Amino acid sequence: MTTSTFAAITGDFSAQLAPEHQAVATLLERIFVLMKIIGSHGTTHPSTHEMASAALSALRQCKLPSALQFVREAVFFDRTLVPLDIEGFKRGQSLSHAMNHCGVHEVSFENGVDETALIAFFEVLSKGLVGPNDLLEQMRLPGISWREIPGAGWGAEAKPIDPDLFAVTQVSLAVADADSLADAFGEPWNWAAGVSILRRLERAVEVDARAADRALELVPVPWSAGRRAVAMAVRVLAVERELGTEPATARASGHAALVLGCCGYRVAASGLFEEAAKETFSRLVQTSMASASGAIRHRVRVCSLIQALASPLAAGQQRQGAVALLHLLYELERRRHAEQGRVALTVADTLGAMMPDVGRAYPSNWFRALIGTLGELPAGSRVTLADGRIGIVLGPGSLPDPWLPQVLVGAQIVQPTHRVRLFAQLPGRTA
Amino acid sequence: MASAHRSSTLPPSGANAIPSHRMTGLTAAITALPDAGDKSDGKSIAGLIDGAVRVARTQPQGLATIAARLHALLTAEPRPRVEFEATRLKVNGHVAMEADLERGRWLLLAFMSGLRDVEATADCRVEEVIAFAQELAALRPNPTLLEQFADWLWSDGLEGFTVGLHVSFAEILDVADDPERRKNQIAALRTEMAMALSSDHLATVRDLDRAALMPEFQAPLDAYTAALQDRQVGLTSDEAALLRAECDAAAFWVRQEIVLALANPSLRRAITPSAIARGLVRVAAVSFERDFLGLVSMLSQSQDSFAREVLVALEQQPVGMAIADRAPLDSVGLQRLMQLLKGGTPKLTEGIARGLCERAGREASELNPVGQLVQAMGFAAFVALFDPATLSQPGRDILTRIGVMLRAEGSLLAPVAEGCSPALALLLLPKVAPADRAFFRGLVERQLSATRLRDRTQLVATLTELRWPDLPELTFEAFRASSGAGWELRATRLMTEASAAAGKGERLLAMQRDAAIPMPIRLVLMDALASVPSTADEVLKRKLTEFLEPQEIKDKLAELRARRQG
Repeated sequence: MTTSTFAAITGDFSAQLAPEHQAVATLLERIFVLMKIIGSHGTTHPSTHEMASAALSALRQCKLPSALQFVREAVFFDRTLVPLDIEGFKRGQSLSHAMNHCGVHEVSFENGVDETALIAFFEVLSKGLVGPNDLLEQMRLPGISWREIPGAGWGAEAKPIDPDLFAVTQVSLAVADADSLADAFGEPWNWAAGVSILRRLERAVEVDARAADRALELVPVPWSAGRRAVAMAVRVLAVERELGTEPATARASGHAALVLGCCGYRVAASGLFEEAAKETFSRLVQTSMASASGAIRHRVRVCSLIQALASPLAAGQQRQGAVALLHLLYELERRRHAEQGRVALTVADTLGAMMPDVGRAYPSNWFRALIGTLGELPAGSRVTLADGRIGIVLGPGSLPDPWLPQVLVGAQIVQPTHRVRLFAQLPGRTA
Repeated sequence: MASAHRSSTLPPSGANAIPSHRMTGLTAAITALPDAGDKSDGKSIAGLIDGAVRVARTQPQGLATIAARLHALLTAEPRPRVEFEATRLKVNGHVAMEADLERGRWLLLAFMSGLRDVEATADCRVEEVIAFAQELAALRPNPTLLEQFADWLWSDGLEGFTVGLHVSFAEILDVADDPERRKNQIAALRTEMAMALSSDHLATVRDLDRAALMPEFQAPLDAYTAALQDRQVGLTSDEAALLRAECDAAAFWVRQEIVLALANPSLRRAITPSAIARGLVRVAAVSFERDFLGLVSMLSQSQDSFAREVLVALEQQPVGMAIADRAPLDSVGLQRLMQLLKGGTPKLTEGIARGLCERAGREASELNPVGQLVQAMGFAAFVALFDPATLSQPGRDILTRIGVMLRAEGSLLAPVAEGCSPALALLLLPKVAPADRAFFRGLVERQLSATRLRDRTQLVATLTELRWPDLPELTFEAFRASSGAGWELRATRLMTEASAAAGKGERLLAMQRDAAIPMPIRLVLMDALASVPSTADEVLKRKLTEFLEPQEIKDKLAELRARRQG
């Protein structure tokens, strides 16, 4: 039996690593051994210098400058995941553990790095294997720099992530990705990219749905189809999460919202909803619904939903379920920014404008479910405080009254003690 | 064939022989694996998963064999939970496999993709186990492939399992990404939003003019405030439940899938008839009349071959069982079930009838409504719908009870009761009319040969009290078949007395001398036979072989002879 056959049966993947990953795996192996040799033989032993030289050579095989990130249980090279075999993974765990103890999660190497600097750095890490230390705090080394990534710790060292920061990260990355999808107009829908966005948004909503919504309202990104698609998807996920629907349903609805937004707003900024849904459907069915092992139910479900959205309603018929929610959210986003230009309505503005149609075009229950999730004063609403100052609603306040929200006034966060009023931005509007 | 081919590729046994688990192909994988019946199910499961992944890589045609064995273990109650760690696999919290140089190398890749645990659902199929093994086998140390696997899991690709999914390794950096940088972004945002409020930074006049024409801006803001105050915001729990049900409704999803497949033949590779048929079973379980019948009717009316394939696939599904499982058993529900039982297809009525018995067997409170339904239909008509022998023990017991309650004819009740529990048999037999007792011979034989010691003793006592016809024959045959093993002393005595009373005690004489019969049983036989005139002489007669008997027998004979003389 050949080595490759044996590798294929057992799954010995080290031979299957791409060359760039193989180089990083070699680097990891050498710096791991260097750290261990320093721990056992000290910094002056010839073996130490020999291994430092080998590590330096491995570093130069990888392009410099470059950085290794040790985030929780994963290892990244220049922010790209390094796939490892089991032995490499264990070495990575040891390095990560030692770095965690030294308060470091990223180490960068530049061209000026030399053997002495490497040995000095890994001497500290070898002590980190034994227990926590702060020796790197005051240390400066040529060609090597390092830093802590607070959310990167794991086990006992893990630190909670601020939901606001998390939401901003996830939502802004999702908007950027959704814009790329929307720009690929006319091409088959990229399911993998869509799922990646949905997973990101799902995490953001799980951590704090209101923070995700707030991030969406406050992130200064263009009023693009991608942004509006993400807004729809976030709200679908938030509403269905609140209702407690099955994950498969929420995911299909969220993905349908994303694809509908990305395609629909491109074809029909102010056009018919059914037209947008039809166009979206035609883009979806150009792609495969199956993986190597068979059908992917999620894709079939998303297509089913979009097809239901594209079907004309019979007289007197009302949309139901996720279809009703998607229609409501599509219209909310469309009416917020129906015309080109810088001005968009706030969510409160748009909900107010939609109210006369509630019960007819929009089922009342779904409308109330949406307001229940967003809050009576959704994030981004412009309000006047009792003292006349004007601010932007960030989210619910510390008091249960929804009209006493947390407000951003200037650069300051304020908790009003008297009820706020909605602020009319345009002259001539009643407020 | 496969094993012959493989053996030619293996080196001869000896110091350098490759261990059996390193052999290539199907036979090696199967022979290296523990049996599905092994008590250490955790290790069996782990071994079978690893074997399935290997076989999927090298000999995919053999995957079905391993998958079937794995499926049997994964779906056995209580269903095990399989946890995936970076270098080991746990089953029900216990380590079942550690990755080493040869086994479980794929574990790390699955773990990197975010897979943490799986548990088979009740309706998991072998095909789904195969799909799982294929996807695991396709894993490679490549970030794109790892993400594809994570996407597949997230997208309900792994049907038939409940999946615990964590953030994948590729996503970890996103999750932990540089909060300092983000904090600065938020600070900048806040400044920007604050600036946007100042008059200098409000929208340009042209934008404002255009916006002012938008119909949305015609609605005064205080109308929104007033409307919120007038209306109830948010939902009651009942309203939320209604919306949730609307979203999750199996009928909606199945209907859409049918419409999708009928309208788009290109999607039929993804939407298979069997998948739709399974969906229809779920619909039948929750909304038979309102949705299921409508969907089946829609399929029946379609000329499309796909629709016919779905109907054929539906015939293979346990629709009747699903209906019986979930149908309300109030008066209206019972009436509908009655209509279905009278007018449904044989397959449907069989499933419903069997499902109702199983349901009542699980939930004692359902005995009465199911009994009412059987009564209304007639016991004979009900049991004609299916083969009661296929019922589980509780289901069969319930149907037997119902038969007893309804005083069903012996010829109908006896086949149903044949496999009932010993406790129920003891309740049932006294109620059987003397004229019907012949029908229950099979039941008595079965109970005498298979029940526990105490149950058998009680049964023999009951039958003796009832003066059951053929009792001497029945008990003697059961006793002889077991050579007395597993018989209590009281049961033995009753059996002997019954035989003796029927004038057939002689046939036990040989057994009381048989050294293969357990000693206490022999002693009871001797005692009982010695008290019957027709056999007493033969028992107490002195024989040369007596000197070779164990001391207990000698003592017993001495005691019996003394008793006779005294």
